[in-house]
Amino acid sequence: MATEKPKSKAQESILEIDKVIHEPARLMIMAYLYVVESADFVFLIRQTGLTWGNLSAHLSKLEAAGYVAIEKEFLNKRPHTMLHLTDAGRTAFREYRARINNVLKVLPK
Amino acid sequence: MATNIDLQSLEVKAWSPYARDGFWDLFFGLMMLSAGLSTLTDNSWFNLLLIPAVLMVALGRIFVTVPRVGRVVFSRQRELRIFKLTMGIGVAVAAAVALLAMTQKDILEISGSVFIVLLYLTVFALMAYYMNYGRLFIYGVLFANTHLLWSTYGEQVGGMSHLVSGIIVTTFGLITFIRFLRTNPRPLIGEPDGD
Repeated sequence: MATEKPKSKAQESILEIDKVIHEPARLMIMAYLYVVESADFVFLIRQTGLTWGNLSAHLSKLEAAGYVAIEKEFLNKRPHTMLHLTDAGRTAFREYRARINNVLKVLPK
Repeated sequence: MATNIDLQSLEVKAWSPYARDGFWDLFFGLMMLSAGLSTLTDNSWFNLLLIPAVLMVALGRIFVTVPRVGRVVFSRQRELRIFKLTMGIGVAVAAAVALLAMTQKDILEISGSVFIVLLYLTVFALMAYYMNYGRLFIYGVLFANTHLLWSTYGEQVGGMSHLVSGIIVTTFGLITFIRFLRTNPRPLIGEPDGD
């Protein structure tokens, strides 16, 4: 009977990393939304340098994961979209940072 | 990239375009210009320059900055910084007024100009620190320097200093504003949240 090889601490830490956040563009979006309360599309485009389409696709994934909430509102009779991290998103981002730090600590030099 | 996310610098980076759009520079520049021109020409009409200066700070952000940089609700920490700045300026002004009153009544035997210079330096240092915009402190030094020259050498020298400082600061403001417009074009028609 084949037994699974026990994982090293480094491997375990790497496997625990949240892959939704780990993608660089999504990590940037999460980081910017983490340091503000909420922001709109234009702000994220300016800060991250992503295209509209790219940003939209990544936000959909973050929304599906329950990390980002997208709120439609009307501003001067025009539709306007504000984005913010959910509580789960904030927690996930904090955990992601902690895990990444752990991975770096346990990796052999 | 993922290894070291400096959230504090990221927050400052997010905040920067709102403070560094050139409007504050133009505001202080026009203030100095109006003071210099009205003193040197003895014509108080130049004080009307203060109207566009105030309008720029009040409306510039709404109609120019936000449509280009986007709308953000900043964190509570940032709001707290702005609150501390407001309180700090209030305390500095109140202290300066009290000290000036004491010099007027000869309770303090120091020239009132010392407190005005200190007030300029304190207010602009607070603004530079809490708004993460170091250049504002240089403007404070220019204001303080002008006041010193004014009280030492009289109105004409003070007015000239205001004028020269005003030209320098307004030029900085214009350069900053043009750079801001170039690096932050308006969103294109048809894009989400664009016109």
